[in-house]
Amino acid sequence: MTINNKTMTDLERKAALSLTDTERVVLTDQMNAVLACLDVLRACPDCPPAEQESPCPLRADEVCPSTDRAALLSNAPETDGTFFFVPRTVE
Amino acid sequence: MNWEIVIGLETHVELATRSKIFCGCSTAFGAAPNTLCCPVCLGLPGALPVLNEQAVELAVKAALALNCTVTPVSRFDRKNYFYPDLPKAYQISQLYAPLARNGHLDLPDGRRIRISEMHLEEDAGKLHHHDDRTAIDYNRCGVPLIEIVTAPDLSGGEDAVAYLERLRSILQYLGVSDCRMEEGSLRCDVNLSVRPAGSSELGVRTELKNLGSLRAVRLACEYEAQRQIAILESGGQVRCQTCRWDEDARRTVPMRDKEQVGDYRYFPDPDLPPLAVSGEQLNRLRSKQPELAHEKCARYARDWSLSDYDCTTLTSRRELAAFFEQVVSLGAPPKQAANWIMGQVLRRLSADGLDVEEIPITAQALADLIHLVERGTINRNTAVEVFDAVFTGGDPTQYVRAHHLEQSSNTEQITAAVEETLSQNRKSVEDWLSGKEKAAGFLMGQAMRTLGGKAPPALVSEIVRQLLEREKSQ
Repeated sequence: MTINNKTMTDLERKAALSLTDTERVVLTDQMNAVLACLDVLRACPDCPPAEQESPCPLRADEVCPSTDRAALLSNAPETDGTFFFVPRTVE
Repeated sequence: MNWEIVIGLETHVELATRSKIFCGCSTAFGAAPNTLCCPVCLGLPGALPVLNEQAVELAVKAALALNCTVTPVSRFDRKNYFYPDLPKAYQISQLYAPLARNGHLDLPDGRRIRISEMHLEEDAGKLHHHDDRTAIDYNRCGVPLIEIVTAPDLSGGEDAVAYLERLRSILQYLGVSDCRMEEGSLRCDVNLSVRPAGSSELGVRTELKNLGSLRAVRLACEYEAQRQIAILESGGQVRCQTCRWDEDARRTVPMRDKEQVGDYRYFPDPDLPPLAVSGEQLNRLRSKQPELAHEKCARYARDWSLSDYDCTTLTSRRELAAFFEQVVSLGAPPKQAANWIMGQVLRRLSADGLDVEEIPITAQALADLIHLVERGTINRNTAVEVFDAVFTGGDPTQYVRAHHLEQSSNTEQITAAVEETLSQNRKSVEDWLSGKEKAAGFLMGQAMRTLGGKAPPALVSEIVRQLLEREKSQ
């Protein structure tokens, strides 16, 4: 995909901008450079090699102490010391 | 006009992890409200999610058992919605690259239900609606879920229930979830539409949210199908809506027009890198998959000639099937073991208010008891007495010996006891001599009582007959 004059005009209108001719040329070049980068990324393999560890860090299934309830409820819009309260959400 | 009901299910299953999916808070059920929460659960600024390895492993196990293709690299996305059950205002879920796709589950009657996809996500908090306000407990927020989505392959409430029962059995056997619907660890959304029979086009569907029991699923499907048919037959149009099931009124109630996927403004979660599941991991998990209930059923029928009923009952719970197999492995004949477990063991569990996870009698004790009956050491009635005595602990052989319960096959003793019985029950003897066959059964019972139940019933019966015939010939 490339940005042409028609697309730029459309984007200008939607973004409520008023560009000079010079700005329009500069911006078109910059946007096309960004899109070219995306094409490079798109060409990268989707799947890491099988022997590679997952990029997503994982933690062991171990329970840690939770935060003190009173401290958490101090952020509540309204509370009875046990629950968070909000205006009734169903009719 | 004949109508066809078309149903697809989205089932949410809480995974049996100790901690939540993205933080270390406990997943324990029933804790005091808002005591199992942290900044990650509440989406406080700066809090970052870290994925629980066990949640991934359990989800992959489920995917393999459901014959899915596990995606080598899956991703997490943010599902944006504004509702107080999720304080972040988005749920971390998977849309564009779910954990697994293209599986299937076979119903007991052999029909194949396609599974479109299975993804990992976090659960939301629980709301309690009062008159003027809503109370929120965020303990459930962040509990790991898998959502299993079927193709529209089910054709009624009974089908949906059959699917859920099979799914629940598979997940329980895998240890992926306890699937307790009453605690919300298995919840189901139904997508239902109707169309003229034979049509290949799908009708406009409604979604029935958060059905919490199999009964609710069946009744809601039946009601909603009839409601849609009535609308179409009167010339109206079904609205694409999200409904809830009103258990008391036994009807579906519209909640809102159904959201489309675009309404949730999904986008990739920048806090979580892609999740890769390697072929090595898949092979390791595949090799650890246990035999499932329906596979056990088929084996019991094939190897031990047990009836459908026996197989289904014994495999209804993983723990019960394991106990049965242990008793058989200790030498008890499979049919005898099945009868004892389905009869006496389940009777005592029910009477004592115990779950099958808590069977107190050991497999060895039950196998020994069955052997005592098989060898003729004690008769069946005595065995039930011994069973009750050793159910909560004890050795049947020692108990029988200590209480002198061994039955005797000494024919002189038995003949003497039967003679005594006949002399004390002359009326019954006369009845038998006049042709009342039932009298022999009564006399047999009396003779067994005289013998204290410690003689082989077949031998006692034979001697009762012999002595009655002798009287007849005199």
